[in-house]
Amino acid sequence: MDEGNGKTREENRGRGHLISQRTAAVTISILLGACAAGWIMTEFFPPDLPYRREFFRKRWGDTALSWIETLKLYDPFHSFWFSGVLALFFVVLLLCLITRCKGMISKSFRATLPRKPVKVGQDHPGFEIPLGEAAGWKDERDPVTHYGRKFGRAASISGEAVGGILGIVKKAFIFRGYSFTSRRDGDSVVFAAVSGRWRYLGNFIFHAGLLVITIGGVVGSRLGSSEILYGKRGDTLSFSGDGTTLRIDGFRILMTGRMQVRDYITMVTVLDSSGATAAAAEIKVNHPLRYEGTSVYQSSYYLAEDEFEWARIMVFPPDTVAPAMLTLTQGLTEPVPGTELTVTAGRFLPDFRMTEGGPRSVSGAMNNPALEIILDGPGGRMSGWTFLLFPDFGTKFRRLDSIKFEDIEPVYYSGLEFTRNPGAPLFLAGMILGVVGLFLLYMFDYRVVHGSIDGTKLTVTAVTARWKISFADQFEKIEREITGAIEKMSAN
Amino acid sequence: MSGTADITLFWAAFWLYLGSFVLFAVHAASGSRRVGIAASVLFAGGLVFNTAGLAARWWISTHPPFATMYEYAVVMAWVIALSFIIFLVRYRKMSIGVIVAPVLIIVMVIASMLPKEVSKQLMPALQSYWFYIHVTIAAVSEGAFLVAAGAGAIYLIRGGEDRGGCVLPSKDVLEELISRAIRFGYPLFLIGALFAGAIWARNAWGRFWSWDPKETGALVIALYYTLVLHQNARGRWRGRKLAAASIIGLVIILFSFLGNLFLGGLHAYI
Repeated sequence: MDEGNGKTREENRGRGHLISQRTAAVTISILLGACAAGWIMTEFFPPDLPYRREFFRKRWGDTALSWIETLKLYDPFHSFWFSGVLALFFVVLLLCLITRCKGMISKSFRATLPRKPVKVGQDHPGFEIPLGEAAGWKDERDPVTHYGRKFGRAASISGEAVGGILGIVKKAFIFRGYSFTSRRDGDSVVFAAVSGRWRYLGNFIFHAGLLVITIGGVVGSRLGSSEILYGKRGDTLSFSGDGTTLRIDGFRILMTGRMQVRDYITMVTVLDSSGATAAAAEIKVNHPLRYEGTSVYQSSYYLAEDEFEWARIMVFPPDTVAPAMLTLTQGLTEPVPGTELTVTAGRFLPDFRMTEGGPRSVSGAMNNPALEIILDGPGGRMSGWTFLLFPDFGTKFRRLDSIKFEDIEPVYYSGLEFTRNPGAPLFLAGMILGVVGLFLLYMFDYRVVHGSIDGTKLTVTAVTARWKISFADQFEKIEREITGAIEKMSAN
Repeated sequence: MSGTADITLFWAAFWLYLGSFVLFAVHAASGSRRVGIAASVLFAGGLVFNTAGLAARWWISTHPPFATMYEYAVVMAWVIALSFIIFLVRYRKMSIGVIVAPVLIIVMVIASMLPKEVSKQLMPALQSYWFYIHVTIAAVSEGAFLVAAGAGAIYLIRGGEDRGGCVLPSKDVLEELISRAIRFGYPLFLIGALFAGAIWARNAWGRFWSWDPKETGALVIALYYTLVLHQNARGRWRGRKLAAASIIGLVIILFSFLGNLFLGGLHAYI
């Protein structure tokens, strides 16, 4: 066999093609190198480098920083050099397809006959079966051989016998799923048996799919848009130029019994330009809202600092009056029962930490919720902090026995990502083509056999096979079958 | 060792694989058929425990065991073991176990060092049928690449010309095994890791491709094997070069797999 793996030597060298396999391999190597370099670079050059220039300038110096910024090593996949590599890949892929499409498609639909009979040799394992006199056939049954010998010409078999042998060979291959084609030229015949021809079509479809994916990616990155907008319940977010808005009706974090997050859900209503309801949906992770070319994703959320829906506190007035549960809303003052005092909720910090600059929240998580309480009444104003998780730790208010922070409904801002990607249909179509192409390319066992019958011998040669060992097993069986059938024929 | 049943089964599988490796080594050195059979039986036992461990983890966690790096590594080990058993039945070359078993043990050791906590609740981003499609096919394809690497290692160790009486498979058999494993893994990897991953990413994160470190790693793996196949089709990377290429592929896969631990990104599920 020559080059194996479904290609002739001619094809493998890419002779006659504008883009050879070598060029394709070099281009893939360049893209591979660029991707691998970019992959590693992200570990060494942080993406926030442009925002911390001074720090990195001191660390690496002006010249190095200048090179890093010019080559955009902190974001290599959006740099000019990587775009250049992608462009090269695109051009080579396109040229490959254009120059090879005719050959790939035509080979899928017909077995190609050899230009000249192939000889059995090291490159082309096969077998030869002598025919006619050389095989000891009965002369009287073979007038061509009989008279040929009588008049000193080369002994050969009759045209009828050639047809019979061709029939035996054809049957042996067709039975095993090969497609068979032959050409008769006088007393000699050349034939080809091919299985798994669809791989050529698969090769074409797969590469076309890659091209479509690349075009889809370019269209998406050039013409698409993406923006994350945050909003709380009741907020309206504008996401289209025609006045269509999205109103957030609520945001929930679903938890399991073990306090693990099950899902994040934002309830939304799409309002058209007149303010009428156009659609209503629940946006969850993995379940975006798709509306007229825009997809809205549940991207993130945060817990607002200094904002809450309501907060509950338990107030313990001095001795005589029973403790009272008060529900505070932001900015409103509540009287404390049995006293002349009023209470107002001040700041709310979900993750309280006392820092040099005063109290602040160190994260958006409810790790240490703290509520500032402001008491007003005779004797002036007093304020202090109460803690949800540490009720005994808060400020001691002189005019009350104590205040305990019982519960709070914080305000969540849901982060919704609005994306428009006009390249998405192309991208998806490319992937479908890619899957179909891969299936055809790799699921069929490609095998090519060439042969000839020249009157004195039958030659069958294995030209190409993807799996040499299993092909050799099959080839051996075919040889036995053909030899047996021809012997039987000659005996008759 | 953790107390859950799946971890106990994991360790049982690990020790059986380790035991089979020792016996496979003895078999390769001595050529004793009995030792080879004993090694194969131990290996098959390891596969049974490996399978049972995965089933137990599935049952305990109430979701297929693909959610963490530990689970992914154990699934990969399972794919390698299953592939080897299929190879064993097909080619009857027990001595190949002397290379497959250590590759498997390396994967199991890596798995053993990863956090093994069972989470009954998948994080919201993982709650999608694409998760099962993406991870299952990617694990199977990477398992096939690891099988190719194992065969590549044997090819290189074997060296020289084919000699009669050698307990290792012939170079032709090994080359075909490498080639078959890569040609089996490559389309699956493209479909499972890249295409299915991209479609899922669009549903979960709003974009097909984010140049996340794991995504880039998958692209590097895909491009690498694309290069291997192109070079192989050109008639360039055959024999020793193909064997060496399959081992380099293993290094890239391991780097991509362990990259989660230091490169971070959207795929940083430990």
